[in-house]
Amino acid sequence: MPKPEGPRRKTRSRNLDSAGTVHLLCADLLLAFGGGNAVISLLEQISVERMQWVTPQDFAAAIGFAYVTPGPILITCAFIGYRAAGFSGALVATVGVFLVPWFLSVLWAQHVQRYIQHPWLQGFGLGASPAVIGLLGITVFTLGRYAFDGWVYAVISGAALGLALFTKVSPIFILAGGTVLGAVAGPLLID
Amino acid sequence: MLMLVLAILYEEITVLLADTATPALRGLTAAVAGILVATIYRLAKPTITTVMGVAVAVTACAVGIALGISPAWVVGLE
Repeated sequence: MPKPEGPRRKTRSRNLDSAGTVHLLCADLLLAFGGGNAVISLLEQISVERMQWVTPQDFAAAIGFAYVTPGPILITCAFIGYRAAGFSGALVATVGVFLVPWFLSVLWAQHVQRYIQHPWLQGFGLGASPAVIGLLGITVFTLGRYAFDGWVYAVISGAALGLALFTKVSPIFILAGGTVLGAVAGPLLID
Repeated sequence: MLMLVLAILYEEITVLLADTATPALRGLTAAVAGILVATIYRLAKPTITTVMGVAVAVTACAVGIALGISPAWVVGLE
C-alpha cells in the first residue's frame, strides 16, 4: 500500500455514485456485527483500501471527529461521503449505513428474543465477539502504518493510550492535543 | 450535521494549510490509534475470558492483516 501524500486536494473521488455507495455499504455492513467500533475496520477497508474514497489520514480524521461528536461512531460515514462526493455523498452514505441496521432491528427484534437461547446463536456470539475485537487491531495497524512516520508520533500514540486508559480526560482533548503536538513537533523530524 | 460542518472545515483547512496540516493530521492519526488501542482493551477485558477467545481475536487480526480479506467474512468464519 503506497504512502499517502497527505492532505492535498479538494477534488472529489470519481468512483463514487449514489446507487453504488448504498449497495456497497448495505451489502458489506450487513455482514458486520458487534456495534459501531466493530465496523470501523470494515469501513476502513471499504472506504480507504477498496474504493479509495478517502485517504488513510482522512479516515483517521473521520474517526477522530466521530469520537468528539455526539452519536454513534458510524456517523463517520457522513464525513467519508462528503469527502468523496460532497453533500449528496454525505447524505447517501449516512442513510445507506443506517438503513439496513434499522430495518433489521425493526424486523427481527421480537424474533431474536425467541431464539436468543439457541446454541447456534450462542456459539455465534462466543466466536464473533473476540473476532470483532481482533479486527479492531487491523484498523490500528493500518492507521499506525501511516501515522508512525517518526518517534514523535509514537510518543503521541502512547500518550493518548495512557490518557485514555488511566485518566478521565475527554477524547476531545486527547485528539486535540495529538493534533497540536503533531503540528508543532512533526516538522522537527524533517529539520 | 455537526459531522458535516467538521468535514467542510477539515477540507478547507487541509487545502489552505497543507504544510501544517500534514504533521497535524499525523498527530491526530496517532492519537486516534492510541484511543483505539484503549477501546480494544476495554472491549476485550469483559469479552475475552478464555484462551480460545484470545486465539480467535489474534487469528482474526492476523488473518485480516496478512490476507487482507474483508473483516465481515473474518467475523462470519469465526
